[in-house]
Amino acid sequence: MASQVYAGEIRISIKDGQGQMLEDAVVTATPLDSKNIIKPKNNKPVVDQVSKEFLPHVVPVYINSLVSFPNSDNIRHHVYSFSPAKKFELPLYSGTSAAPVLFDKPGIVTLGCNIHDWMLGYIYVSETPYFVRSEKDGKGLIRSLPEGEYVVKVWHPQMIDTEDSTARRIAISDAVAANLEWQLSLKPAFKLPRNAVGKGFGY
Amino acid sequence: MLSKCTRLITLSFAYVYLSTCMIGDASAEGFLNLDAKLKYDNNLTNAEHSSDIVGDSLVVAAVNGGYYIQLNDFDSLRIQGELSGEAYNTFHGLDNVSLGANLSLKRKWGLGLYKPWSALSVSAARLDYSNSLRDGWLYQAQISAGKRITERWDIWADIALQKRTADNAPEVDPGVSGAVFDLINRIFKLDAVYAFNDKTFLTLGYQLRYGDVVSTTIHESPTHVFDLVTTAVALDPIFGPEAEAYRITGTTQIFGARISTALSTNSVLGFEYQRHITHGNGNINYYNSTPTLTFSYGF
Ligand SMILES: [Cu+2]
Repeated sequence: MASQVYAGEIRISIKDGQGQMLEDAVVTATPLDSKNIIKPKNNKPVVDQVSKEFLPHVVPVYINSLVSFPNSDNIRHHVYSFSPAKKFELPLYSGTSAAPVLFDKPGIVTLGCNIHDWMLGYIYVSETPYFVRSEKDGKGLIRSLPEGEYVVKVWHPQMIDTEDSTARRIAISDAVAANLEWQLSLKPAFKLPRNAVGKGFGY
Repeated sequence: MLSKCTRLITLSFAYVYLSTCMIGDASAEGFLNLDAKLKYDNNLTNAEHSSDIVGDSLVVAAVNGGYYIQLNDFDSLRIQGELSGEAYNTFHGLDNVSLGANLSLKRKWGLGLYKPWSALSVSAARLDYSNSLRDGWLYQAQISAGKRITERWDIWADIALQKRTADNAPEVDPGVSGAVFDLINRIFKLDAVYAFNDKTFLTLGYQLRYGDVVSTTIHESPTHVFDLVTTAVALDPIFGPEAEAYRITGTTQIFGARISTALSTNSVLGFEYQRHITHGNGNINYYNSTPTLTFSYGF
């Protein structure tokens, strides 16, 4: 254990099909040597609810993480998921009264709220502790990678191709930071309307 | 007109104040919306013969607000008040203000986007016109149910009973009621919304009404067909010195389509077209077309 070197890092940059910087992509780096998986400390992922939206929209978490779902709004939410990776329900609650939820299977968990149908969020449950979510500028940094070989992949909620098709194999050493770029073809974004736009006719 | 407006505004403030006291719960969520419409009705008189048909444009301004209360995981209550005004371009006798309240209890039958819902609602509104013939109250009880079918299609249906009462019932013909605007209607509605994207929507609506309708003749009818089937008659001076409004029993079908687009997260611009087809007793048939430009703003 003591011989491991923690200096490696990967800088990522993600663009959409039109070349615009893309937020909310998850990049994972999986070491080929499983000895290089070091459990993260202070791992307390949070999916907040602000102004009737999940924030952030996409949250990557390491497998077996306890994720908390605080509600920062002054109204109540009713959070649920039907995804195979995690089916759960947090009945109507406010504040921080909902108990954290354990995510013990890898995969994508789609979040909804039964009161506000337009609320949509994703939890990416990762088998590797090395991941990052791209920010508004399409960029992110995966730090503290032990030296070795990795398979690096990208996932985004709207991507057309499979996550596996984005895989790249790279060797990490402490000498240089790896710079990786992807351009992803996306399905058009569709979101349910927040307001009851077009509800009925006024006779 | 102005003093009536003041009275109604005072009433609406009293209403909001009272409902605030009644709830006093942190889980109650307030809402406030403004609506503006520019509308044209090509047959204001609901007349059959071209010599009796007149059209006019009008502007509608409305403010509605209230509270939305999530009672438990699946039931919610909505208390809403609405103040609305209509101003006609030519027929000022039809200018009106109305103040109404609506109470609606909704249940979602389960967890998830595609679970059906149902609702019960009751409403009452005071109608105050520039010409007093149409003054009165409008009451409605409604049962609704709906379901999101796909990510993009949402449908719902309503069954309603609507009753309108008239303050004034001056008798014109002895022995025939003058309460032309005492009306009862049974209503069935079907609506569907398709979302092209998260901002642009197409709404399709169908409505079937069975009950009382009011048709106005501007000139004395040469056939006297109304005399046989009418259930109430009144002079309708808004449309001329000889104009008479007749209440008859009839069926109206309304076909509507609206395209609406969100200009921002708070505002929606829409264009709506409705075609009304009415078949009344005595083979009295009339048609209305109403194009409407709508703008809504939610706070
Ligand atoms: Cu919610």
